[in-house]
Amino acid sequence: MTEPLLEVRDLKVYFSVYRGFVQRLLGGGDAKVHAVDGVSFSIAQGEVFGLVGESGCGKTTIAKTLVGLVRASSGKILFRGEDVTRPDRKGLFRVRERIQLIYQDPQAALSPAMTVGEAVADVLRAHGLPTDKGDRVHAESEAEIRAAVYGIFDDVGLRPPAFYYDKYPDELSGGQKQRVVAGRVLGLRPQLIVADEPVAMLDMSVRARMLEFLMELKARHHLTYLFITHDLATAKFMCDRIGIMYLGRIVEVGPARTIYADPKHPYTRALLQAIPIPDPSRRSAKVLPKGEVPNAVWPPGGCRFHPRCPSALPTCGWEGRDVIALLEERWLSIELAAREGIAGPVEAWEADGLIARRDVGTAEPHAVQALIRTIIDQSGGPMAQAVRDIRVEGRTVIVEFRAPEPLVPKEVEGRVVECLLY
Amino acid sequence: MTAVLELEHLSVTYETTQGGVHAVQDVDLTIASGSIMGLVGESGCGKSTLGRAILRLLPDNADMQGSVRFAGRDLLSLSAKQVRDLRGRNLAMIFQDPMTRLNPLMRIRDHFIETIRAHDPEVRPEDALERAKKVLADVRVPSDRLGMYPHELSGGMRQRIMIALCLLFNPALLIADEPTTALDVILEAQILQLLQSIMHEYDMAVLLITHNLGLVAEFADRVAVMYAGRIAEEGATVPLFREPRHPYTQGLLRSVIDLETTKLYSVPGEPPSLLGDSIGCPFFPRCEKRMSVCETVFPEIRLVGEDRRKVACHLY
Repeated sequence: MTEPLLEVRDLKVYFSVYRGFVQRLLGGGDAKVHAVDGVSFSIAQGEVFGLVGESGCGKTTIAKTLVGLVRASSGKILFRGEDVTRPDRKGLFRVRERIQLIYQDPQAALSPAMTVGEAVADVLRAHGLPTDKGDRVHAESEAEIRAAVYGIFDDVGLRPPAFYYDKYPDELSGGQKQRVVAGRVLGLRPQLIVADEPVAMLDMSVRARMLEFLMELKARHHLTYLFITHDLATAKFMCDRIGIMYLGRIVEVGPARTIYADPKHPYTRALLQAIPIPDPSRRSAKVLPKGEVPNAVWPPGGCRFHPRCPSALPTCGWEGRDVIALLEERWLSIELAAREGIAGPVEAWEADGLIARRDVGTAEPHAVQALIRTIIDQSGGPMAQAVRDIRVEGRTVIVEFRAPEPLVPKEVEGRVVECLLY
Repeated sequence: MTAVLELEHLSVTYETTQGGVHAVQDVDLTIASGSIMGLVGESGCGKSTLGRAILRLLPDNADMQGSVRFAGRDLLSLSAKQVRDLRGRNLAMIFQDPMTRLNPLMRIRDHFIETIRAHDPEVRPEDALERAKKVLADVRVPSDRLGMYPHELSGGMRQRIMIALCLLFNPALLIADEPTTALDVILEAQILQLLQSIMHEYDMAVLLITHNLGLVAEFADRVAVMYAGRIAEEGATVPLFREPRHPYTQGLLRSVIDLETTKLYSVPGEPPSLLGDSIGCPFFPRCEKRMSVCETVFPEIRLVGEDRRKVACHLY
């Protein structure tokens, strides 16, 4: 196999969370947003690789890290084998000539005070005009730059170019603005284009045209795409291979065809099932994952999807805070909350790793212990089987879980899945 | 079937320095009580203006004509105070971005107290909180969230709280303007399932305004397709999706990208400007089935086919 164009190895990007001015000054506090937490993938020359996931899964952070807008905390990014993880100023300039980003919102990507022609010309002034030999030379004259911009506009379908050159972004439609952005990117002759939700802001009736346009450009300029989207249907159409992301991890990665034909990870299945089908004769009851994507500052232990997973096992990473979530869910019923008053309220419980505990105060600890045992047993599920013991220490009732099984990515029927089911 | 809301010849024009923008033109629409009416269209087609017009939430430069009949009264003839009294009590609305609709400086509890006391000033805060807990349980939000500020809550929680605020007075109609557009697919499905179960419990009708045809197909009883400020087609969901009649509806349905898409399609051209007066069919320049009559004569709504669908097109 030939060397991949881009290779990302165990990339981690954490953002520190500061609680206030004093802590910012003094440092300290180890709260971190685990935006990207150990992601590896590679993209071959000429391929369209899709990163698909919900908001907050880290897909945009990866895009920004690739072009040096965000610094990697650890891991490696290799472009044609060359380490571009932490480039210096000059290196960054070079990286951005080879990897370029198309943003979701073309309106925000273009300066409202600059004509779209100037927006593209500016880039050519900074980086020089690409030549056929693959290097760049600085333009001799403004006329030369203007001619180059015309060429680019013609290439991206803004015709006649002279008509568009002096337009401000406000005078163009969403699709036209996205073409300007694409043109500005192409002016650098990049090898890899990272397209971050390039059609999310466009109306359905014109979305297809933009996708076709991106594919045309790819063919004409021999490009490689990293296509980032939350929309599995678009990804299916565009991508050769996809990686499904959840809370900073890739949970399933492989050829798009294989994954869509038979998704293996429960999260992939959930995502596919949740897509609304524009055919009312095929309405069906959906079994959706519970709750929402958890906070990435304290991602769940074990498999990050386990608290929401419909197929979770006792070994998936059950921990103290899952008990609290169970109580919260259960006591949504005001009646149950009143009847089980001695075990609550929810706020009296505290989670610490595999342990959930509560100081019962003046209540009888053994009664609380028995009640909690009943509640957990009644929940049925894998969580009940993961409990190691429920004990009383002094006035504290403690629920402790067994440690989870280690989670490693496994090759399953032509793709890689990170799930204990396999 | 009893109607909870009837729009007749509703038109909204925004007066601007460049002239009148005809955001909504001559719309007739009836929503049956306890049903979901899906209102679909692309950005700028007037669907949000229509939703706001019903609640009289439009800016001062908006001129409204026609009638909005709700509970036996024409909302357009009511005084500002009378409308305010109906809003939140009999008619409620949720919006796309729940973050910007909750006051960031107010705890969730105070949103509930304020909403209840705006209509019933006599209610004591403690009693208001009891009512808040009940509606929160209905939208499956734990009551300890009452003590939190909006920024402490996730997007899904916030939208649930917005819905709970709407439920306080058991409205007959909820207008949901792109309620899940800011949410991910799984949350979107969760929120719509929730809305569906709640509307039965509360015997409430929903006007679901969205650009997402998939959502309408899954949840709406009837669908109205809007284009350039007008209703292009309106009818029961199942036959409309099985056999769309208006060329715009056909194009819109073909352009949906779903898991079974094998060939991309997009409607040629761009939506027209709504500035100034126009003659003929607004879809004419983009239509693949246009005839010479379309350019000069506006197509009136006709009842077409067995399901007596409303279609504004010269083909029928």
